[in-house]
Amino acid sequence: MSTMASPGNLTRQLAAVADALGPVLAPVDQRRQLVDLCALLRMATAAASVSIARVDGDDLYYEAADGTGAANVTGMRLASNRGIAGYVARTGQSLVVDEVLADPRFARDVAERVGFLPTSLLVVPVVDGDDTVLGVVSVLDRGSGTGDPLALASAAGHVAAPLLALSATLGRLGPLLVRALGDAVTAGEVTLGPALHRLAADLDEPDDATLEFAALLADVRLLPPATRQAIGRVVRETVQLASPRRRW
Amino acid sequence: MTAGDSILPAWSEPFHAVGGPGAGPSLAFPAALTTDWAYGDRSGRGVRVAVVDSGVDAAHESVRHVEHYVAVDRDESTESGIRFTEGPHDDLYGHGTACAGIIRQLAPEVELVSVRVLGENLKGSAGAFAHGVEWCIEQGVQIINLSMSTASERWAETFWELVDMATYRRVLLVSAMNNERKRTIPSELAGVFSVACAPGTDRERVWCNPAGPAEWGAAGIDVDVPWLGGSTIRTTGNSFAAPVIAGHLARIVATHPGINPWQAKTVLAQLATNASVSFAP
Repeated sequence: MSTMASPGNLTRQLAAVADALGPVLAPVDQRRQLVDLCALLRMATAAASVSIARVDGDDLYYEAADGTGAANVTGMRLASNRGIAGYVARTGQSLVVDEVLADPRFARDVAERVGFLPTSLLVVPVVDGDDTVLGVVSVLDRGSGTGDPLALASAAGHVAAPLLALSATLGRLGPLLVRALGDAVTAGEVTLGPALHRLAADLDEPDDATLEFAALLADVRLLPPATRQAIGRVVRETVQLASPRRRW
Repeated sequence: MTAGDSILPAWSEPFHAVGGPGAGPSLAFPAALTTDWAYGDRSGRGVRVAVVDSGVDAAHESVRHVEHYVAVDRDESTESGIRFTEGPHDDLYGHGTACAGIIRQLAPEVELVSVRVLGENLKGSAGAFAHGVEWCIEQGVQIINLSMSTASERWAETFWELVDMATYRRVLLVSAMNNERKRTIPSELAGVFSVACAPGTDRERVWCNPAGPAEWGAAGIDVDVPWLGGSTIRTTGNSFAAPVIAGHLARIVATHPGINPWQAKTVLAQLATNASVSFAP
């Protein structure tokens, strides 16, 4: 049996590895957790539908949903340069709209997306510690739930933040691998074997200063959150001071 | 299915508590300060009011016209990393049209300036936001409505400088508090008119909460606002209370040209619904 793969087979195998890499390496099933989070929020707000979308480039990718139209919403990709969810992703400001039917463009968009026309929409941003928007949580047609729906959605956003960050990181792993291989081949290698060996040889070994900094970071992980944030600010300021650029 | 109960955006609680935010900081002037003295003909005639937001749809019947447009976009090919494009633009989302329409309703003869800081790229909004505010100050805009803010501490120093610059150039900065309970810039800075939602939908009423950080209250819950495509939507948010304060200030500035921010705060506090110690909600 030959150990050599044909180029076509190799491409297909690489694509399969790239697709599987993120999910295989995931420490938790973050998509399942996001769906559960949608379900919890939907129950708490007595809503018809809840979804969570992740910012992916200039798009919103709907990672999870629960309720009416959930199957249609999950996996959808929408441009962030329009729509109420797009506004929230663009600005990091939440938005509550109670009569959306008056906006015909919105009504058409949403109807196509979820298969029904909601009356009300509440969208909050999902942000990281530096206020970078990672995604949005949308609550459609909320009812009389168990508490303040804005605060509930905001809390769900806090829980969703590390899950969306993990999802984004895992999603990049496969494409990163394929791109690295592609670059090696484009650089003139005729077979992938020598290319990979050369790639491995070219990887920079971290210097002593970097290793020491990494060890310090490992210690920082054991400190309380407020202290970690303070250290992060100091490091960020130091890096900014060391890299003179425009003020903003 | 109908929408659930009304939502109370964060920082609006003092205006809805029993007794409201308490008595406003009114002064015992020798004669009563009247709305006619403060507002004049209530037109806001000639006052340049900027809406730093998603753009403004001048064709909407609630807006009617926009005197000046500038779009602020991130552009790494320029020295500052920012590109300014003057000339008519669209409203990308509807939010800026809502703010402009509210200001126009209260002060129909203001000169509206649309400063669009949300461009085609998702990244860099905070930088465009800061440059947009700086542009307004340098262009002699008299009132700037900011129905957006940032929670990133990286921007604190920049906005401290901008708020101080505005104050000493007699530019009134109106800034909505975030709808969620987190501190944001520049709305938490004492130099701006920070705004959250007060009870009711009557835009003629304003409240003063001297304890802050939301110093001013105005209608913003279940309010009708202009939106894209000539439409009107019913919405809730501190974003829609801020332009109410901007509209009241436009009347005051038109009647008292050159008034500075702390003078304007004194006048507006005298007109507040809770200016009297006998106030009861």
